[in-house]
Amino acid sequence: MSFAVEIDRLGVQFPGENNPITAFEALSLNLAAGSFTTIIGPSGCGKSTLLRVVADLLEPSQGIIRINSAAPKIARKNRDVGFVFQESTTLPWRTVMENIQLPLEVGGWSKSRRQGYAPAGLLALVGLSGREQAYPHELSGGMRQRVAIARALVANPDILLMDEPFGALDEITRDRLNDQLLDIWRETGKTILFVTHSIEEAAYLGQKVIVMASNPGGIFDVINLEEQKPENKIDRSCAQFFSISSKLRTALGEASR
Amino acid sequence: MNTRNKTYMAVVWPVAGAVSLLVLWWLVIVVFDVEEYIAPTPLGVLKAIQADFSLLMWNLLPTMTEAISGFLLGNGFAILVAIAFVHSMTLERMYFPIAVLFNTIPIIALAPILIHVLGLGMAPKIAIATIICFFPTLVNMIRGFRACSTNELELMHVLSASRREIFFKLRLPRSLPFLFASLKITSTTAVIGAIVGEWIGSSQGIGALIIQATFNYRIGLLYAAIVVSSLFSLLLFALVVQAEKYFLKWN
Repeated sequence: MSFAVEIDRLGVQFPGENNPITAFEALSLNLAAGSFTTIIGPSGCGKSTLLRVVADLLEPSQGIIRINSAAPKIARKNRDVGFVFQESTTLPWRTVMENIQLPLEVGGWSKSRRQGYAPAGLLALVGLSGREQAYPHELSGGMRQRVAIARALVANPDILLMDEPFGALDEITRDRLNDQLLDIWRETGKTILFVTHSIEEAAYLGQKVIVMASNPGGIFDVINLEEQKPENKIDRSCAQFFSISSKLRTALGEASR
Repeated sequence: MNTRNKTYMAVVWPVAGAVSLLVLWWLVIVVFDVEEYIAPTPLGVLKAIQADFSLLMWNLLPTMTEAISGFLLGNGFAILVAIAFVHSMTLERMYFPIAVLFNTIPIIALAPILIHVLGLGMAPKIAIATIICFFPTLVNMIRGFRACSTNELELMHVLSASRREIFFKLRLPRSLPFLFASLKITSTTAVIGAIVGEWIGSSQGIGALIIQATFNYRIGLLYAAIVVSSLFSLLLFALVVQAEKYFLKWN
């Protein structure tokens, strides 16, 4: 099996007032190409920090990280990685279409030989056809986040990193976007690493759920759901889903202790 | 209330306010029997504008030239310096305090020096208008170029955008609301700068006309000159507002 992301004994420390603060240490993790992994953990466990290291937004203090067998910086320059922030971070002076096309205007894209997606097709994929010319302030929070997803996908990255992308949305919108994200994942075959603080979201989306602990930060447990959720599909109201969520809740409780 | 009615009311109320003050002015003059050479009535000012229209326009022309040149130069320099500051912490640390210090010098004290150095032509007036426009725009643009969020900068980093791309695709559009806030202020202060310059040493321009009218007891002309310069400021301001509406549709 080929791994899209290989993380070996990774550690991140921040300079503190007296001693450095450890976000996490000795964290090892491999993500299979095309897999959907969710990360859940108490606040301060370093789950967002981990994502930021993969995206080359942060230098690790120890350990090795390989994305498609290359260092994060190279992967970033190759556009192997797409990132979706908690806030949509759509640029308000650009229309929906212009926002989605931003990655194709910067970072030497025109010289790269990478094959991107057609923006119009992506717009349809995220269900925003007909809103090309709208400005972000004319859209709902959920729609803006879908613009952000389309923007993260337009350069056709292999890996999609998502940092609590639906955390600020209401539950109905969030459920709908979760279903849509799974459709996108099935359609595109991306490797997705998704950080959330919602147990239901982690259980519903992930083939694998990584439960992180704080103090010291690190992986507490990896819960494999591939058997319980064939084809990564499950009904949110079925007993099976309830039992997965309970199991996650218990693990999270132990991790937070 | 529908939109049309709203725009209508947005005009009606300020006009009503202005008319009420004009009526008050006129009443004060009539009730207290103020002599024409102390203060004219609104109608007297209007008559003075009509009588001396070509003289006023003839003097408005140099003031306009100075104010608009100073407005463009001052704002242009300020934007360039702000760009340099945003890209070099060292430059900002070295020169921003000096800009602040320079700004504390009263412009009225600076004017004689500039006239001494640059002569009695338009140059010192343009220089004063430039200086007066420089500081507000510098401060606003430094803030404006830094107004992008951490997320926005991180997004650009993930996309491997160059500094140039970050500037043109992110910092510049982000700074536009700040720029226009400053352009609105400086569109009126540029005119003040030009008039102050003319006041201190000039034979033409609205500032010179104000001085001459005062010394010659031509009070109607004095008021007329004030009204004309203020209308010109208003025109510049309105142009900036129109440009803002065009460029900041998204804001």
